[in-house]
Amino acid sequence: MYFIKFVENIGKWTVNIILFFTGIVIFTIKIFIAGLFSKAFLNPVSVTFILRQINFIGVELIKTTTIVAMILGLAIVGTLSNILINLGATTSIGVALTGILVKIAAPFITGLLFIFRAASAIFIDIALMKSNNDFKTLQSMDIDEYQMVFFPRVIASIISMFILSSYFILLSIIGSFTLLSFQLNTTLSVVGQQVVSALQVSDVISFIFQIFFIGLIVAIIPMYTAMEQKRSQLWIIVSMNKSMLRLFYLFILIVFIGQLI
Amino acid sequence: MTKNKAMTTFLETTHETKNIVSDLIEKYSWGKVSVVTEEIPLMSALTVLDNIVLYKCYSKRLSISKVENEVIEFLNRYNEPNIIYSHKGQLNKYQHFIAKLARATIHKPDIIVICMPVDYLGIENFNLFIDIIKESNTDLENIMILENIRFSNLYDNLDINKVGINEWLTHVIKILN
Repeated sequence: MYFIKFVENIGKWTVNIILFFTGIVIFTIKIFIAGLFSKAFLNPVSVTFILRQINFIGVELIKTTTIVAMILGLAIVGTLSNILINLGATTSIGVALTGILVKIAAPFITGLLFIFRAASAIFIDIALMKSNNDFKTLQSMDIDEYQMVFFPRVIASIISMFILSSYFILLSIIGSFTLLSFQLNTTLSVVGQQVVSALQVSDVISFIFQIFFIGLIVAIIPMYTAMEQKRSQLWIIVSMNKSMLRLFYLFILIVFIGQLI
Repeated sequence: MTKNKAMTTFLETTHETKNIVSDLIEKYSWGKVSVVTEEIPLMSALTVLDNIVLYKCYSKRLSISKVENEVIEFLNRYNEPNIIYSHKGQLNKYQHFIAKLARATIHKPDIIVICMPVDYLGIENFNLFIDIIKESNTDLENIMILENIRFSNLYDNLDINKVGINEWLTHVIKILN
């Protein structure tokens, strides 16, 4: 009896996951088709909306990223360089820095910050639009919501994620230089050279992969979940929990795949 | 009856008029028939300016800043220039109505249908509203159907036709086709 229920639950869970991923993929494809291949491509209004979204979800995170990058960047680099100096492996500092910063720290930390800031804002934005019947307004005006509402958020999210992660790496390298200059009596060019020479194609691919997909899911998952909900404000909180959990699991999955590259 | 293609129609909100308006919206583009109604809300994430110019800028590929002055001018006529950067939640009922009216008129559609109770505008604002509509389109044919009792004494002084709903609908469809 329990076994049958257990199997049923697994089946239900699997079907739900398959449906979810299928829905997400279709939703994403529709957004990119509407955004990139429609007649209204690069319409001044959608460009304005993209810039506004970058300002809303990206620019406002710069302060937080600066503080977090300074504190965590310094902590990571400081601990790492201390360990390497104690082990007598100072020549490996560049490789270790690159590995930690580019492949793990930058996508992971900025991704988390980005989820806290952008995902919740995007979700509330879309959920309120849905419950206020705003999409009816767009339909009445023959304006494609995929192009005017969803596409700007996705593009802004990917661009913001890329800029913030690069900024995080830059700040961390400056931080690491400050630390290492005390510990090893070295210069910025030496640190920079070590980092650049240690940089491998796979690191860059892993970085771009993680940035792109984290940026993508931070916009897609909240929007998809918000559009799934019923037209009632009561559902917003329930759906938001669902959206954040889905986002977190996918985020971990992307970071994990990123490490395998 | 047809003087000009453009015309303004005032409808009282009833179940029948709501259905007619929904049908019109479905069949014709916003560029031809623009509607001021509670069923088509202002978008909450956008400012009043964005809401007003969204269709015009989108369909004509204009940047929002290019039509900003036009909107300011329009809102000035209603003594409401300060709402331009406000959001939906910050507007009172009258400002809400003005924003929707601006959204429906800014791109000069063939027909503007107002399917909203206009009682809360007050007599002074209602007069102002009629004057502005007439002023902005001198050849405009104003048709009023289903009388609003509160303002019925004002209609007599205005050059507005009163027709039944069926006559109005026939006329509208003739214009649109």
